[in-house]
Amino acid sequence: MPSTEVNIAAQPLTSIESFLKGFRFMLPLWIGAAPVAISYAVAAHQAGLSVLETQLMSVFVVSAAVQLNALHLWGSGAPFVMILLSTLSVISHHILFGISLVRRMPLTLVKRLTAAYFLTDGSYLVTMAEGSRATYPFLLGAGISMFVAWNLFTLLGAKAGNTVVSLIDFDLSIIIGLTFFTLLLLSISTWTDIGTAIVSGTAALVFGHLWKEGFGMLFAIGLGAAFGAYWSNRKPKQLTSG
Amino acid sequence: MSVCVLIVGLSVLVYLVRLAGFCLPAGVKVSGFWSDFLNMIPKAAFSTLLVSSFTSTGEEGWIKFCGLGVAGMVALLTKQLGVSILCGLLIVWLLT
Repeated sequence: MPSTEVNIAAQPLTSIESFLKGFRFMLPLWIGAAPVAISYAVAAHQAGLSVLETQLMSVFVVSAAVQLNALHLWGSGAPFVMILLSTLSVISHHILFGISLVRRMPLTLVKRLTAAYFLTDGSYLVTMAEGSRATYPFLLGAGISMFVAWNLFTLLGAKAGNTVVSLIDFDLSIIIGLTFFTLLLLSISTWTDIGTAIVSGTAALVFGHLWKEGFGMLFAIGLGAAFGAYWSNRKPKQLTSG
Repeated sequence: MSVCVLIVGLSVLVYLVRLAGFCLPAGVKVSGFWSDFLNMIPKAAFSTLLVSSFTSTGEEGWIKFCGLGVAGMVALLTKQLGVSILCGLLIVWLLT
């Protein structure tokens, strides 16, 4: 795992350097993505998908939650419309991610079309953790990094999934939670940030169970952000001078 | 329904949803509450995805909190993302 420093007062980077930095920042998440991708490939094999079909889904969808959810519903014989509606609920919070990114960095039409393809939870969060230093090459590097990892481990799972699963006796997906927690800690600077995190986390706990993730996640992010906006208009207080 | 229809349907839907957020015009001015709302989305998303990922993993609750605690302390002390994750993971692995 690379030693990835988040808060560096650095000189402006070139596009290539920024791209590589984004790619590198995602490497810790590769370890978390590996068991999920392998599990997906094994589940796809059990559901009757060929290696090519399994890989194509990873290439074009690039979302663990969507792919696993769709496989589960498809395997249980759910109607196509039901699968699409369920997918919409699982991925809906990405609309907010896109809106947030457009405000943070200038994006041409081509850049928007490309960024949308490689947008994942991990690439968005790592990019936003960069704060004002977030750039399009960084976002693209982070997105492509996860794309490469997701597809490499899908291929590994499709080719030797059962063997690999039996070798891994530890839930590596916990790394994803550790990463999000660390990024959250490093991005908090005001009482409003803390309130926002508490409200959205509590809402995710409550509504995630009620709505089985999906729209619950969208609602939790929206509620937390609404609380933060309301509170910052009333009573902004800095924890640190920065 | 064939697998191809499933893959194409999912691909198109997921891409369109992701693209929808990017359709906000570049020059549009958002002020007041909505500006703050959009600025708060990353923090809210960090917290939401953290809860979501931790309620879906298989480890016991207290082990997860120990891992979080250690990763958090190391992050605050060193500001190093990779080192923090590694330390948190090490604790979870030792306690499991």
